[in-house]
Amino acid sequence: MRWVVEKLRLNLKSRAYFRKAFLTEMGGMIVNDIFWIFAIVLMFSHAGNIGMSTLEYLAAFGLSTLAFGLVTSVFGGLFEAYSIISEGEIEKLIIQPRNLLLNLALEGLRVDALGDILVGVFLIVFTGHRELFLIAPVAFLLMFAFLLFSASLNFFIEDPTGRIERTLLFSMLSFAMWPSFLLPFPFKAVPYFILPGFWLSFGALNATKSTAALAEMLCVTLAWLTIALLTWKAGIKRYEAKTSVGM
Amino acid sequence: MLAGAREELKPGIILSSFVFYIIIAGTIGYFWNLTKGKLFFLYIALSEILGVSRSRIGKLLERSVQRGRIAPWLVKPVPLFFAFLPYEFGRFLARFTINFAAYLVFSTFLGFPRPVFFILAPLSFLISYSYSFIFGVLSFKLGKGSSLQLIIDKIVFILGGVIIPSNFLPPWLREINKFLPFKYGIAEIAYAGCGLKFSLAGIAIWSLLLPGIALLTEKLVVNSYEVGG
Repeated sequence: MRWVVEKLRLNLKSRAYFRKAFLTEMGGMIVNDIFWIFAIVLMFSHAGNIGMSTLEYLAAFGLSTLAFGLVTSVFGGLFEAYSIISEGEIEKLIIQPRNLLLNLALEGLRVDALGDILVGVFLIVFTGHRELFLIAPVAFLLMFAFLLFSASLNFFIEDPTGRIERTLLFSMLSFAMWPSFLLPFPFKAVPYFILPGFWLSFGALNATKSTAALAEMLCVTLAWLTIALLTWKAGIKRYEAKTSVGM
Repeated sequence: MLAGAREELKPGIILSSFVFYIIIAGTIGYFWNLTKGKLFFLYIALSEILGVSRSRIGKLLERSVQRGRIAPWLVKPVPLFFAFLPYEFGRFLARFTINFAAYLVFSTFLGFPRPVFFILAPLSFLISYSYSFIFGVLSFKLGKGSSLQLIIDKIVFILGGVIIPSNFLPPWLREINKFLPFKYGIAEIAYAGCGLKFSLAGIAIWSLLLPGIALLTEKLVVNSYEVGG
């Protein structure tokens, strides 16, 4: 644990050393999120009743921003896994006497995602839906599981540009940002289970109000954690087998 | 041009673009269909074809400048604007084709876009390529500008009419938007595909004006970069 804290501190310190770049990257993401808020407000001014108030929608959006920002900034290495794996940088991590998953995940820190965290916290507090902070750890776990799953796919698919990993992540996020709860059955299954963005925002908001929704969210998170860890283990096994044959 | 198309035509990338298109156009389109009707679904589906195909030349240029890989391009006798154009056009054609193939999923419900959409689509590329190039080439002066690119992306999304039809903007912003190129690269061409009123003059003017501005900007910033170097 002390090692994790130390590594995070070092990551933050090394990025903060270039103060101007640090602030502009973080500021850029904040402005980016403000554009999304503007888009949501515009959408509501033309959409009529979609079963949710603007403030509730913004709170749900805030939680998804917070979860995405926190997980991808702290575990920036997983976000950049495509280049770490395709460029063979992972070899350097495999030989270290540390947990490989944590070592890879903590390999980098995304400064721009810190802007997401600030906007997320602000939105949740501003909209008065502070109960979302209670459910936030489950949303973080789900986000982490999905990030780990998409990163692990790099062991199976050669994709040095990271397009597949990014597409999966942003598809999931799209379901967190757009009213995916309006989709009819059977399409609803996609944002609920396959690309479970729904649970990062609207679903999490439901989970604060209903025990059934909370149980459903916990089940989806657990299922995704299992899938992600199994994919990671299979990926590492495949990578090690491949490199040992190469040797 | 073939190199650009080849980069997009890898099985994993085709599949992920296909899935992404269906997810985005499907979710947002379904939402607008519920609230405003089928025409809005068609509009979103077409604007996504154009919007997702927007040029990445800005990011490419920025990375090349930062990593010092731009030098071999600077000694070539053609301006950077034309040097990267065939490659990016190849990418555009490939992505346009993939997205359009994905659109066929919705076409039974939405119908086929008007032929004028296909005639104007290359101009959408030219407009998008030109402004993306202008912001990218500014990295000669500004250095790292990834946060600037993020902001520009969102400006294109909102003013260009990718996720929200541009006539939904507040009146004051609609007035400003008339004089900016973003909506002529995406929204107006999607309107044309839907059979709605569109500004051909606006599309034509920006298709001519923006490449000129891009070439001029390149001349100014590259000259100062070479002198500085």
